[in-house]
Amino acid sequence: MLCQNCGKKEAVTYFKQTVNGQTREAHLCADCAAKLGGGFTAPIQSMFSNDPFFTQPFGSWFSSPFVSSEPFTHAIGEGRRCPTCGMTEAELRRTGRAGCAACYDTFEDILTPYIRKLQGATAHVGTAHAPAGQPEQAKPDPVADLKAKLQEAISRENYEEAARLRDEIRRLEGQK
Amino acid sequence: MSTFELKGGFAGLAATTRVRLARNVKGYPYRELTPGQLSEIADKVWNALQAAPALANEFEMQEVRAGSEQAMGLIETHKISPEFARKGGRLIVSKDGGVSIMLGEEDHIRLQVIGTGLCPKECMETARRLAGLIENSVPFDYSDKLGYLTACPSNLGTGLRASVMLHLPVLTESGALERMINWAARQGFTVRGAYGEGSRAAGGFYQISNQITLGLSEDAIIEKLIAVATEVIDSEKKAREQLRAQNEDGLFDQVARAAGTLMTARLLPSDEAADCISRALVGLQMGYLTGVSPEALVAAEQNTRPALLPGAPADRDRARAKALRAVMQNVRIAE
Repeated sequence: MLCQNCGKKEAVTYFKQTVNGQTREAHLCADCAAKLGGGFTAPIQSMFSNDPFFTQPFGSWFSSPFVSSEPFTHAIGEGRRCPTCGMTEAELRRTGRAGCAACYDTFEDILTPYIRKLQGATAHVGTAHAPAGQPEQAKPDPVADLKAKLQEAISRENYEEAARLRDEIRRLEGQK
Repeated sequence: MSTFELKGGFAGLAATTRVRLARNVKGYPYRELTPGQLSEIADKVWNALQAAPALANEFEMQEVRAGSEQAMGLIETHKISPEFARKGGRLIVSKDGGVSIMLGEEDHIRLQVIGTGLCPKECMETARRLAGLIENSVPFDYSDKLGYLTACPSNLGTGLRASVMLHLPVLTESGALERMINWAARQGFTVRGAYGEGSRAAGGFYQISNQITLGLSEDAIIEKLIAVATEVIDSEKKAREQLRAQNEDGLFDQVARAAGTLMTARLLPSDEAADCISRALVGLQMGYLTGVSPEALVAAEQNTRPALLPGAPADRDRARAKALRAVMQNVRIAE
């Protein structure tokens, strides 16, 4: 069969990754496998190119036609540009990288579904910001936070996310 | 003991642990930083670290030139990423090598703590402390909703990538690794050959690291990593015992020959060295060899990689053989 990413070369490898219950899979040619995953089945690119610790797990999926049916690419348009750094929508799509902090506001409608897909969540629960001059502080009650998110997930009928949150709450409560 | 030297359990089976935090400094773009901007950021971070009296003499800052030999060597010791080696930038390293801070990688700051054995909690604690120290005087890009902002959305939130390098030669040989990888993926962790050599990682070293950085706390990620790594280590241990039960003579023979090669060879190519060290590590853990620590063997493997030895290939093979003979000089093979 042909590679499901480029549609040109013969597929030689099966690619599958699961993030928080969301599975992506594809039959890929060697070139696309290397480009998309750099993972296990990818051919040697160079001696140094593939330290997995530094590799973005899904960085390049962003601009791949393989995921082009996702909401992210529905918002294609040339008009918008980040007022702070000048990043355009097209560049954001091509590189999969924000150009500055303000890009996360400017392109929020594009990035939110992508972040959800990539991370299985859209809200931070870890260490809270420590403004300059003040000691670092943790968010007051992670469990209360998670419970609020659980309610939100249930109301959105996102049961997969809800189950994950429920488990996380149980785990945290178990530690107390 | 030096300031940042961290050590955990499962020496040999868990070779090294790494924890990395990605941060960006408020007010600067993420791409196309000018040399002046990079220099400003580097100075801010440097000054923040120098402000802590206890740490004032612990760090050094250097310029890493794009594509230089120095950069290749720093990749081999995992101090910098391949991307950083290609781009160049400023690098702050602790004198004991346990901490490295890349300035001007994909994010302004990539702070990394490396320890030996399985020690994600300890590495995280150090990383958190240093990031907090920097943040006291250098404001980071942060949003209440998304946490720490990073150039790539795959690092958002905690900016945390935590990873353990495991030595899994028998699990690889037995074919059970594939199942393990799928299981780890379901827990949100990626398992990959540590040096990217395709489907069979050189010397049986694999890295396990978290995929998710947002929506889980740092502590939750670290605990999950420990749980997954411990499970994989357990499977490798069981596979080794199974192998012993099936064919002890064959196993012992392989270990003893590998030890013999390391103790006597005069010219040792890196592939053969990696293979022999892998077998020797198994021998140490299973009691066929004594007289050297697994940490020393793992370190010797990393320090004798081609980019870290000078000269032509034959010179490197000679230097590698000599270094390994020295490490193995007190090794005894069981009767």
